[in-house]
Amino acid sequence: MIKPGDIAIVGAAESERIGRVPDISAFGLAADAALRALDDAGLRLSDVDGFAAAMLQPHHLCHYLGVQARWVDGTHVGGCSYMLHVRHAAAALAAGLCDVVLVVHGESGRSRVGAPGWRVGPDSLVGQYEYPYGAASPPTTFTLPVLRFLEERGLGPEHLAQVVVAQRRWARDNPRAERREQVTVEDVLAAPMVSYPFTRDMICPLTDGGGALVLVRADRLASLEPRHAPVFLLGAGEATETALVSQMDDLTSFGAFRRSSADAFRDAGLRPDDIDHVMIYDAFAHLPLYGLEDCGFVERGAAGDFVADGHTSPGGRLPVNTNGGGLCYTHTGMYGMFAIQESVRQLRGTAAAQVTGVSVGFVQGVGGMFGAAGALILGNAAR
Amino acid sequence: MTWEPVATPESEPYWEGVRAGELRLPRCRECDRLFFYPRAFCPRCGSRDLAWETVDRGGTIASYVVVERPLPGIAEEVPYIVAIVELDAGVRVTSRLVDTKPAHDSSLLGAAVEVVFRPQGEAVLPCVALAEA
Repeated sequence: MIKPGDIAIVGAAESERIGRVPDISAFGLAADAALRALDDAGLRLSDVDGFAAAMLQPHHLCHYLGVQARWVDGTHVGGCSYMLHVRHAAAALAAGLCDVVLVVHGESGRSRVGAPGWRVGPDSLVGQYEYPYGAASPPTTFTLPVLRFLEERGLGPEHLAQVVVAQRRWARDNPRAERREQVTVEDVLAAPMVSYPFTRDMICPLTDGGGALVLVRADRLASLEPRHAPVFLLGAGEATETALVSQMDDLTSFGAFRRSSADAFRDAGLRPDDIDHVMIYDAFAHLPLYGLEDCGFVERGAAGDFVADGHTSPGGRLPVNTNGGGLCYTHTGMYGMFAIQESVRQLRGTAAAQVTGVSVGFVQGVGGMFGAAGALILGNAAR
Repeated sequence: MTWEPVATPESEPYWEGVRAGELRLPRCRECDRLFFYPRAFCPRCGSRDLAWETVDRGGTIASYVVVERPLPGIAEEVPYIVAIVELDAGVRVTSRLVDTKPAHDSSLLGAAVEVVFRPQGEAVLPCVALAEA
């Protein structure tokens, strides 16, 4: 298990530009973020000896950056891969396999410049059991269990819209956010329908961008001069669930959210009540509803009203997705890195929509279509 | 609908059944579990001792979406309904609800359906249709 406070994030940065960046490749976005994160940490590329990346082949990216790594992790379980990288990096650092880990994301999700290919075979699992029916994109698969989720709780599409309304309030003051226009529930419901019950506004945009983290053992901190106070890893968890959305154990609760968050809370010796700030990976508006319940922030069935009553909005008692989330801030395809970045910013006190008094943050990622999950608990004190 | 599935050696008996107008699924002879999707072993107990059986075509709609945006080369005629179906045999599958006019509401949740076999190019697909009352 993670020993709270043993591992520190000493560098964190996003690419200088996000959103629409047609003049920089996926590798270029990753490199820009990596150099900025190292600068933030007061370190150089030559200091890096541990390296993690997803989808972009880590050994190719190492060479691109001129990094010689003695520890490499290419875990690719979709958008939450970076949460898993942080957990794996913590284990590798603790075991002395390396001393300075760079976790890097770069994705040209909108402009598709230098982006790796994406091919689904007709004999793959999804090629046989989903694609033939037209269930062949996130809006047609990730969304499939949601009518059942809503029906069981006596909720409707307006509760998905409330998630968008809440997160637009956070995005309003964030100049880097993709969607900042303030909207009402009626506006969101009236947006063009993509896959009922999901309108366009309930689905993330597709963007370009990068992000990177630099991690070290806390016993190295005395010899470093990072630009910001360190953020400590207090707990982490990871879990897998399914290859096909129809095979979830329970269509109305995500087991990998439950298991990964439970492990993270166990490591940290904390409970949901102890958390000041929450990020829940939201490629679609239903994920914060699943996440609030599955991670234990509210009782099963209570998430819809919790969001609608404003508790996750600015001024609410549990700030959620304060960068605007994948729905409003940015979503390159594998958004997890940006959720971690916002958690770090809130703990450092440097967020665009800064919440006062954040000392412990929780980050929950999902990968694939209810395929995998990773959870992190971060703090600005080692405890 | 233009995407045609291709079987693997492990799933060939399933698709062979579909082409013959039957829904055939593997059942574990050790722990008696019927399972979907097909593998060459039981995902619960690991036994390789399986028997393929033809199961009942009835089921109910557990959840669904109404797709309004075409997927080029995969599903080009919209709107259409993709559903997760709870088969009476005890497994869940994703399928296409055919012969029903899509509406933007949740009225189809829990509806009784039965598997109907529809051609798709050279292939045949186990789709579902609302059951006769």
